[in-house]
Amino acid sequence: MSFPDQINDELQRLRAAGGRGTLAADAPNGRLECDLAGVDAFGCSIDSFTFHTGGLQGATLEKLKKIGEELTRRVTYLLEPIAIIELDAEGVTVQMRSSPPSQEDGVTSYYELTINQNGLKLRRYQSQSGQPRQATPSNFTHETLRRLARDVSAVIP
Amino acid sequence: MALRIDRDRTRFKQIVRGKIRQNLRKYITHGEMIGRKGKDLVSIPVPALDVPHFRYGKNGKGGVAQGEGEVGQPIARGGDADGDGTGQAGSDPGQHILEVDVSFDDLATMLAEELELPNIEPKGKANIVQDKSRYNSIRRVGPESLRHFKRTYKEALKRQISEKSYNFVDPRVVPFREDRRYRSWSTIQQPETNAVIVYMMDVSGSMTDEQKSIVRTEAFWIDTWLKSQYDGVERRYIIHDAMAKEVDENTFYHTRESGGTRISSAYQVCADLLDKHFPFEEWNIYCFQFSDGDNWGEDNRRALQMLREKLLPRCNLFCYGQVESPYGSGEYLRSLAEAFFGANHDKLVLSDIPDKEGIYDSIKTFLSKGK
Repeated sequence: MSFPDQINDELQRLRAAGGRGTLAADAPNGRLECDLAGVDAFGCSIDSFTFHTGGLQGATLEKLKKIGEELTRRVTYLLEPIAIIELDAEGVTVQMRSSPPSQEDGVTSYYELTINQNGLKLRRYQSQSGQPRQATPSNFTHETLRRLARDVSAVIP
Repeated sequence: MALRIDRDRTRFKQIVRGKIRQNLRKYITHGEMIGRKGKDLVSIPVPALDVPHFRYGKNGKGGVAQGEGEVGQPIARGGDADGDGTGQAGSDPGQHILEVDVSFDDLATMLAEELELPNIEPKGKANIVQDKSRYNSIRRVGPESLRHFKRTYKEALKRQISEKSYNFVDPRVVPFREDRRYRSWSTIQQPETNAVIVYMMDVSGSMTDEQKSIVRTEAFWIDTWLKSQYDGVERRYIIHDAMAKEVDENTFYHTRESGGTRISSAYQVCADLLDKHFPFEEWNIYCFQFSDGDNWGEDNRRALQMLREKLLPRCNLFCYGQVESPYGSGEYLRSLAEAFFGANHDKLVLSDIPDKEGIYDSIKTFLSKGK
C-alpha cells in the first residue's frame, strides 16, 4: 500500500475509534507518526507531526539546512509560510518557523519545525505577551496532511 | 552681581531642561538622540519652545475719542472680525524645531530626576587610589621646560631694585641663575572608582533588527547613567548565537547571525573576560544581557549554573532584559525567575521588554537598585 493510502486508512481507523490516537504510516525512507486530537470526514487536528528516518544519520548541518530550504520552497500551503530561523551547529539541528507568524487579537500563532539527524518534527504554538507559549493542534484537511507527508518524505534522502 | 544676560541665559536653560524633561519618556522610547550623539554633547530637538513676544491688536482701526455723537451710536468698532476664510496659503517658512545641545551629565541628571534613580554606591573594595600630579608650587630648581617666566622676571626685578642696579630710564631686567623659578608639582592621592559594563546580546536568527534597536536605545541610556556615576567606564561587548565572541561597539549593534541560541556561550566569554582584565576586587562590574529568551532548551541548565557560580558573585549588578520576539516564545526570563526566586540574589535584575514603550520601565527597573 502506498504511503498516502496508508495515511487515508489510518485517518479512517482513527475516525471510527473516536478521533484520538496515533496515526502511523511507513514511507520508503522513514515512518510518519502523528498524534491526533480529532478527525472528521474532511480534516484532522494534529498535536504533533513527526517523521522518523535513518536517512539523516550523520548528516551535516549544511545538509539539514538544504532540506529546510527545500521545505520552504515546497510547503507553501499551510496557514503561514515557513522559513529557517536558527541553525544549531552544536546540536546539528535546524529550526524553522512560520515567517511571519500570525497575529490575531493579541495572540501569536506559528508552526515550529525542527530537523535533526533523527528526522523532522512539526508542532504549532500560540503565545500571548508575558505568557509562556502553549502547544496547540494544527488543523489540516486530509489532502493537506497527505501532501505535507509526501513533501517531507520527498526532501529527505 | 550677575549680568542680566546671564540671568536670561539661566532662565532659558531652565525652560529647555523643562521641555526635555517633559518629553524625556518620548526621547528614551524612540531613541531620537542616539544618532545625534557627539563626544560630550548630544543634540536634542525641542519642538514648540514658545518665546514670549508682543502681538499687535486691532487698535489701528478706529478707537474712542471726544466729539459729537448720538445716543446709541456704536463706537470704536474694530475691523472685520470675521472673514470668509478664503485666501492663499502663506509662503513664509513654518516653525522650525530647535536643536539644543545638552551635556551627557545634564542628560544623566534629567534621567535620574525623571526615573527617580538613586546614586550608585560603589563597591567598597573597588576604590582604587591613584597618584595624580598637580602643578601647584614653585621651586628654585627644575628642568628648563618648566621654567616659570613671570616669577623668574619678578625675582630678577626685585633683586635689581634691591641692588639699586635697576635703571628706570633703561628698564632692562636680566635674570641670573638664582632668580630662576620653576613650576613644581605635588603628588596627591585621588580615589578613583572604576566600572566596567559588559553588554551581551543574542544575535541569533530569531533576533530581529527591531529588537536590536530596542537594545541599542536601552544601552545608550544605561551608558549615559553609568558614565555620570563613574570616572572611568570601560565598555565591552559580547555577541552570541550558539557561539559567543567579544566584538567592538559597531559590530555589536549591526551583526545578525543565523545560529541557534546558547546563552551559556556568552556567559563563558564574559567570565573569561572578567577573569583576564577586570578583577572584581578592583572593578565595579555591570553586566547587561539582552536576548529574546528563546534559548535552546538543554542549554538553560548550564547557563543558570554559570550565572550562579561565575558571574553573580563578581557583579555589582547583573541585568537581564528579555526583548520580546515576534514569536513571543522566549522562556529564559521565566527560567531565571524560577531558578533564583526566593534566593538572596539582589544582584540579579530581570526585565521584560515587550516593545519600544517598555524601554522606559526597563531602564528604571535596571538602574533603580543603586548598586
